[in-house]
Amino acid sequence: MEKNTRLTFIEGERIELLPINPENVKIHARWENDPKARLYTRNVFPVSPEDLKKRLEQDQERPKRDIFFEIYHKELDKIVGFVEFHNINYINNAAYLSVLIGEKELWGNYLGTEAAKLMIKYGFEELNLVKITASALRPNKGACRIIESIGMKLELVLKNQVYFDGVYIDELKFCIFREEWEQMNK
Amino acid sequence: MEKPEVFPFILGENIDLVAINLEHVNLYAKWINDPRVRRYARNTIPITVEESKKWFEPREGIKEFVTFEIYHKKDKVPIGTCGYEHIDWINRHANTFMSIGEPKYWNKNLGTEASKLLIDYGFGELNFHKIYAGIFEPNIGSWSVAEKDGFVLEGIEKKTIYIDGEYVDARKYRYLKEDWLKSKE
Repeated sequence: MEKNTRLTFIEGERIELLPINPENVKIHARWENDPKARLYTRNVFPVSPEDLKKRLEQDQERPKRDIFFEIYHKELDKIVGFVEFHNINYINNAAYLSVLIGEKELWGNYLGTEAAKLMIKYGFEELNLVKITASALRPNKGACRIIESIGMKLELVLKNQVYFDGVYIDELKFCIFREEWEQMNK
Repeated sequence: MEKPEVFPFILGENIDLVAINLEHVNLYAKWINDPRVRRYARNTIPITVEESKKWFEPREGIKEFVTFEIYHKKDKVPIGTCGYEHIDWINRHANTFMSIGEPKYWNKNLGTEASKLLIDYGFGELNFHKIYAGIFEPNIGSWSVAEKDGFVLEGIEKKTIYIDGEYVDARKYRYLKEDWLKSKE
């Protein structure tokens, strides 16, 4: 990807966050359908590139309810996942954060951690949020560890909330408030 | 208002749950906008009759929500709405909501009765596995009804909703099917 055509919106150390490029819908569709990648995101329906295109077209309302970025890996010069705020509530100043590294060979490199940190900074410093929430399924120990490592605290356990491999399992919700984040970054 | 012809869907003692009637849409819009009713429902933006109508109009596909009118049997008037929203048919859970739109029917245990009917309907007919409700901390009336009806406090979402100038907590309640089955024994 040429540097001068890349729409860098947020610059990190190893990664950049870019607005979604409709030409990449096939890559996103591959991630969304991947059995391993979708395991904990609970995408239980197949998703075609056309479905994703349609979703993008519908997302025109202002202010945006969902803000979606591609995670671009600088050294590898390709997109490796996505990160988003969804259900942004502009009255309560709250939003949900989710991250997926779609390229499985890059798991374990804390790229998701870096993306989540960039988003939290963006949410508090630019979008004027006061609370950011993330959730993970109980067996997804990796995600729980990453969420806690960026300063989010367990707020709520939703018992037997999600149907997973034939049984109902718990969903854990974590959150961080702007005042806590400001304290951490002083 | 002319006395409507009523076709009850679920029979209660003092109230029935009946299908939404679009001829009552002015009444529904009045409830949604009423300052006393909307306070804890957090309807912070006015809703027109046309918008309410759109909301209640039949939609295609599998339902993501089921709404009832709460009909007062003795007085023969609609007094509120209740039902399920965010129905997740795969994880088999849904959020239950309840609103007595006419304040003169508050504190008469009618919400408790409607909620009981809804729980039996959700587990007994819709095959839900879990029913949940989120109620804001200052809305003591509503969460004491939920507790009376057998909902269990699942946790607290801290400072999550802006009411009267400050961020307040939301209490999350759950009702699991296993608890419902036990209550029937």
